[in-house]
Amino acid sequence: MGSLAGGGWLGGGIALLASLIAAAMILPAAPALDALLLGEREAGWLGVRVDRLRLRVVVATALAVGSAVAAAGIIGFVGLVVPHLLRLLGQPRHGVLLPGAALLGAALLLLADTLARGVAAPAELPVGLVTSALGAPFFIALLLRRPA
Amino acid sequence: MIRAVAAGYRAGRARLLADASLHLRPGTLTAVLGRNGAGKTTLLRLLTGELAPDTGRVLLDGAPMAALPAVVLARRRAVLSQHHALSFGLAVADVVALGRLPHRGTAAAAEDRAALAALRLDFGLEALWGRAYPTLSGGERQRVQLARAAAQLWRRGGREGQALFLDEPAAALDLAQQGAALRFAFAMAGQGAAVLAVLHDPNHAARADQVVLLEAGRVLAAGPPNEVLTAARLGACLGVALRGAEGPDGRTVFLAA
Repeated sequence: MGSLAGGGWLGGGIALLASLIAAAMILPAAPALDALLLGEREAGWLGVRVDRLRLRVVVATALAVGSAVAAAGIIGFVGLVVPHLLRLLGQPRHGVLLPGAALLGAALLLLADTLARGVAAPAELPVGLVTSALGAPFFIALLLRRPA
Repeated sequence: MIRAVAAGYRAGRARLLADASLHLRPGTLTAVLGRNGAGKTTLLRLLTGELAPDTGRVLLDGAPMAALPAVVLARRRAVLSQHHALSFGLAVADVVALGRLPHRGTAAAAEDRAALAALRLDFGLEALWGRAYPTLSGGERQRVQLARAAAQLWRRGGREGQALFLDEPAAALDLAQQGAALRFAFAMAGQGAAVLAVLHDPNHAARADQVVLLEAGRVLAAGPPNEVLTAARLGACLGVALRGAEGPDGRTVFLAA
């Protein structure tokens, strides 16, 4: 279970820098990602190079996730729940969804960390426990709502 | 404008299309008829530049089509597939606006607003404009997709140099909606675009300028409908017995025998 306690300025700074690079890679691709919602072939007919887009998304995601995990360890469910929450709130457009997910994800993690430090004070719960406790029921509800 | 010269394509060991030659001329509508698996979709994918032929050539104004940059192609050629699913709830306005994606960063982008405002009226989407796409009926989705294709090709003036492809635009639609899709296809051809539509109904195809009959990955016949469309040939190609009868406007109408 991850924790925000051990990050420090150096770890946090590196994660911030990597996240900014990832954001700079992915935000300009937001309209192309919208086109991908129509399907891969449809996006291709609209001039999107789907193979290149996929590579760009994979590299940016690996960079952002890798640096965050290196700084804070494994904190589950935030990345799984937040984008879906925003889509449910009626924001499927990636130009809004991507920065929105970054902000809401950070806010949710801050809330979880505050809870983790507070509920059993002076002891501190692992923050991943809190995010899982908040996120798992939400995710199950999401799966029940959209039968595959 | 778009020309296939002895074009063929194979996937693995299966030859999906062999030796297909045809010419999509500006201002004409070409109808493609054939059974499922006859190679209709493969032909469409070659002529749209989505796939490169592995024998023969497919040329746009003389240049190998699949070698052109995807975005350059997308500025002059729109494709409507039968697949109209959308996993997340983009608004109708967003879906239509995606048609303008290839024009981002070009001079044509200045016309985006005017294009969307005009198409909203042309396709009767005023009441649907803010709705989430997955909440629409099949016919409404079709109208939105037609508007998206129209947005991709939208410009002031004629349609010269543009191409439109429709893959079974009439599939799973009621008669009124089939009519809307076909009217759109004919209107685009009337304005100067080269249009190709994969159709199932020979009576729709009879109104085209050129008809291509496909069977087992080969072009059985290609030419004007009054030469190509005979009951016997259609019956062999489509696998159903048909007979021709004189319709109210003097044209031949094909009926199930």
